[in-house]
Amino acid sequence: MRKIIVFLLLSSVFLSGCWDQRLYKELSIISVVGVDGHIGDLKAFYAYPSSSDDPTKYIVLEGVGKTAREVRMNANKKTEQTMDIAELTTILVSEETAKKDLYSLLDVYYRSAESPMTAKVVITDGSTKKFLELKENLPKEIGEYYLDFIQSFEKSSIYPVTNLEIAANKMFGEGRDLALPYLKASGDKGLPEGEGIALFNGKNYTGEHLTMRESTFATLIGYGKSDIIELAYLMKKDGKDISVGFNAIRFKKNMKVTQVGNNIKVKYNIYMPIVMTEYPPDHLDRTKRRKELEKFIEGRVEKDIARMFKKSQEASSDVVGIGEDIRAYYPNLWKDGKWKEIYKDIKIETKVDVKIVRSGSIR
Amino acid sequence: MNFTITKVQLFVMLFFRTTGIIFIAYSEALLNAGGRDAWIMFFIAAAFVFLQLCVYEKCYKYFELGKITRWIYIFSWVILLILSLVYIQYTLNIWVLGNTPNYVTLLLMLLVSYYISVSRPSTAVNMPVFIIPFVFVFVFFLLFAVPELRVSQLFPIGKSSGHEWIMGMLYGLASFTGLEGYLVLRKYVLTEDKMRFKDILIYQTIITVFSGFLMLVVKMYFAPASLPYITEPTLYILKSIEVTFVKRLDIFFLYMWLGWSIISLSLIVFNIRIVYFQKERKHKKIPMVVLHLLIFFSSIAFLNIRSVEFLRAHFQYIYIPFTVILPAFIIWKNKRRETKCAK
Repeated sequence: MRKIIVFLLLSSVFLSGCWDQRLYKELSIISVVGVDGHIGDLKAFYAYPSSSDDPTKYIVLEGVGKTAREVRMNANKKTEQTMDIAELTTILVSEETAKKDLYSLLDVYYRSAESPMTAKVVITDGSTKKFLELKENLPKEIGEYYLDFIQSFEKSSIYPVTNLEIAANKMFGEGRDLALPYLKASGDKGLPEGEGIALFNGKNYTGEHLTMRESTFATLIGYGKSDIIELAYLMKKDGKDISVGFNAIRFKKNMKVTQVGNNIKVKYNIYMPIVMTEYPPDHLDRTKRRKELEKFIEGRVEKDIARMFKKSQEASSDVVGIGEDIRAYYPNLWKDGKWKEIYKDIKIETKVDVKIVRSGSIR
Repeated sequence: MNFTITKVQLFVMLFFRTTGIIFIAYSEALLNAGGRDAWIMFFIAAAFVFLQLCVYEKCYKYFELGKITRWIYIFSWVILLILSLVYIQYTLNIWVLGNTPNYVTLLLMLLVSYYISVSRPSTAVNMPVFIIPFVFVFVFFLLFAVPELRVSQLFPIGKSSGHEWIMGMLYGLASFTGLEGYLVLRKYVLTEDKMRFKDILIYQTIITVFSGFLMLVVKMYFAPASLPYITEPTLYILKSIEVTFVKRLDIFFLYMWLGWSIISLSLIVFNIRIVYFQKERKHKKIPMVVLHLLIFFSSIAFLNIRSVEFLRAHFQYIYIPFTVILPAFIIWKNKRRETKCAK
């Protein structure tokens, strides 16, 4: 009798999950969400695979409501299953929506322990609807497609690595602003295309975004090199257009901060050894040719970085996290709650030192 | 109760008793209370605890509980057990078991604890060994967050106010709650197993490195302004880590934390058992049944956000009265009595 009681008690352990089990067959597994509008007048689109045989086929549910939760509840009424966001990979937010307190829109994801914090948050040019109702068949499941799409840019050091959790951290942090991937729909088929990174000031999108090349330098200076750095420029020489392509092997930065009167001066010294990937005139074995090319690249990179900083300062977005370093290592220059006022007037200089260390498999 | 342990078993029990339950959450409370210099406060508190352990080692012979002090300790541990169970159940409700009735999970946890409490002392003594491998697994997976850690978050230092220093030190000390267990268990260590200064130093270094690592990861991961909104920062970090073999790392570690916490609970019960049965008692099992029923019904009664927030806001005040003042008083009183008798 005693053994039976012990057995029954131990068996009951396995019942504890019954109340919280969620079966796949009863759920619509949402992989991408698109959000338009503002709190009080929200519209959201939820994409989930419609066929277990062909994962590329999907259905988009539309929901309207005053709050993010209400929108989801509204969309849920249009499906026979329960919507589940445990496997969400991407949240698309239209640029107009992101301009007004992104955090309040995302609170619904942070508060629920079921939401995956690894989901990407992306800002879209115009409504998110067109990014979900694509005219072209995608090669893979839509959530997987968007995730791979963003991750490929992250690996190319064009976008900094972000996800829901990192986004919240940056929205609350004062010394570094959030930078999210910015996508636009391109061509007749309206396929998504990377357009740069969206600049944030606190919790709000500033309405400004960096170009792809500016994004690359913002990512490199602010977050460091990821797997690869690929860059290409057009060099004009003797009336001819010469293609210059290279991969940076390293991107080493050294930041110096000085106070000039009431202003702060930040100087970046960047060392960038490169390997040439495109240079039709060849003869890179000649020192003179290499020096000439290095100087050209240095000039162009410095210009791009200067443009990136100008745009970021005008948008009041400390995308590379200068404030973070100043607060930590130059606390006498830091003022709590007033960083953005100081940031706008900072003088930023960049000196780039490029070294061609490999010419590729030809000279 | 008649049993002996080795010094290694003593330290293993102390480690899991101290770190269990709170290790996923204490860093948030400490960092919020201590401000910018909170991480320094933690290491100062760790140094203080080391000195305290050295004093404990010198004076443990005088830690003889009287009738009143015995019941003060039993009462405080019962309260701690109830609040700990409330916190565990609340955390489970939020993270994984939102629909499972509270009584089911509480019953299961207490069933394990009851089984340990009525088994031979060696069961409670050896249970923590099961968790040791998970400590390494846990630390290993937290290392995946390293690319997101920013050393600059540790600086500048010297910015915390006097009030923040007081609160930070209290929270820092509270990270080592349960140290009185050393005094309770020390006399059961084999006499031939000599306790040296080096042993205490090694133990304190290990627990400081572990708890300090968790605290520094949280400090370097989260923006200071976002931390007050997060209740279990360590789980949040694990939730944000992407690995290929499992979708949600946090859920896996939540269950590991649950096991760790149940063992920590059973070690508190073990302390109660030792102290209660210091006096010869007629019944061996009935007091344990009563204790577990009391904990069960009290946990059900207090299971709400108010109790959890009360615990979060006040757990730092437990350390000094029960780990510093009361032991010091007991030791001083018994030492004085012994000196008087010798005269």
